[in-house]
Amino acid sequence: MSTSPRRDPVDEAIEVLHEPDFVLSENHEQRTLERVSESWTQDAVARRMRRPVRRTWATAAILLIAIGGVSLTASGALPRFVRWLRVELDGRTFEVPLDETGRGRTTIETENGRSHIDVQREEFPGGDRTTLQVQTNGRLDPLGLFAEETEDVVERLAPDAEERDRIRIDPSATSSGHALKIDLRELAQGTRLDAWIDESDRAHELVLMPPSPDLPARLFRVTRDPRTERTKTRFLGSLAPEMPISTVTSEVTRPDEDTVRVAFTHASGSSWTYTFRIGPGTIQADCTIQTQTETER
Amino acid sequence: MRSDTAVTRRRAVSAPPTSDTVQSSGTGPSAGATQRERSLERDREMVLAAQQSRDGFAALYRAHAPAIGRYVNHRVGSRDLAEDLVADVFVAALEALPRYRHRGVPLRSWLYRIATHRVNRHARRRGRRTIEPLSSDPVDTNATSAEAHLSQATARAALLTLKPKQQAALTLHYLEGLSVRDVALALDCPVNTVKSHLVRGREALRRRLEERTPSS
Repeated sequence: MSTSPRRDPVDEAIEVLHEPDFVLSENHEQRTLERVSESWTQDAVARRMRRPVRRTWATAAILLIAIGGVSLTASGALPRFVRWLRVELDGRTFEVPLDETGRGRTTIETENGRSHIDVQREEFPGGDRTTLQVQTNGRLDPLGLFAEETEDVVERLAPDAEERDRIRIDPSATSSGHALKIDLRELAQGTRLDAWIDESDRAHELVLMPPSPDLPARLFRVTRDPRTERTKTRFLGSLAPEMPISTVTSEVTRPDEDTVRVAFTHASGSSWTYTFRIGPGTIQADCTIQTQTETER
Repeated sequence: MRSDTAVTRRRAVSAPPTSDTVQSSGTGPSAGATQRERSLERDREMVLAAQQSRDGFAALYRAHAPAIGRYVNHRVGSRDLAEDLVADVFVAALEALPRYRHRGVPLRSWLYRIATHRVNRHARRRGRRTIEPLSSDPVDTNATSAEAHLSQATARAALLTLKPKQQAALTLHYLEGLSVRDVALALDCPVNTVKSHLVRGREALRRRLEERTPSS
């Protein structure tokens, strides 16, 4: 029997992690210097306050119950521009890359063995459906699917830098065919934004009300005075008139009070939840899109 | 900035973090000090040029982006994300250049500091969720546990579970080849604190690796 001493695993890890030949992608310099050039010509701080959402989050709320040792299949609509899914397996998180068609397949190895993940997309007139199949001996944590669009998508949706400042999130670019546009600049630059950041005037409820299917949906903010219980409503912005939503619910989550979720339900049964994260001084950075399709078809 | 990186890295793998490892590359302390002064002088000129023109900033980018990119990539375990963050680092550097003061801190250490803040902030915003990289190699279904070896993915996944300061210290010292002193400058903390992060980081990394690698 060999008795050669085993190497220190830390030294071994450090050795395999060495990447002396790591290089950034070819166009990284150009992209970076373009951003730098913007800062040369404009007031960087002022611009940062208006910087668009570069990265929106889409969460495929395909809720998977924690089950071990079985095959799972879940389906739902996922925006085509989503480039990866995040999967929580055995308490660890992995990213499964998707190709340009929204499909992907990979094998993940954990302590409990191998799990095979297959993401397929089925298109049909009027919509599409993403199917996720997982064969695992491990534990797929409850809900664990997240997806994030790439910055490229935002650039594709709004190629012009000024346009990007409008933070247009447009699921109509997806194959779902639903048009929904939110111009956050309208929110971010208007004086109405002040209401978002005023600690003494924090929104307790946010309601988006379409007065009529033919009219633009309007975004209202309802504040409630905890002492008097009186409410106050303010108009915050408009959504595109073509958005045919049927019901709207809203909540202000806790303990993270800076997060506001607004859920839409489409007549077809599909629903979306938009999560707005409001940073200090601005609505600036993170707008989360959730696509929820729990009972579709 | 440093030409003896490979030598230092190779040696630093086994060297306990009890001394400043980089200065001893055979040239002696005074030569090392002179080299450092020259390097700082070059930094000073580079910063001046970067403050004055876009071309100057481009030169700064080309000189330091690969190292910063490698560091960030080690810290986040995703090339795409690393590239986004590196771009953020240089934009932030440009905005901060007017406040840059030459206080004996190498320019690269200053950039590492910005990068560390960016990576840590990103980690916080992601809710401390650690993304484990998938191996780019197809899984060999015929491999047996006896043949199993420590893969880069496993090593990286283990590294990414450490505390951010431990990750930063280990990465800068062992993977980027910085001396303990330079790591201290990059992390803006005392040398002894870095040594503590390195010792504890190694211990934690060993435990994580042993958990993930089944002993044959």
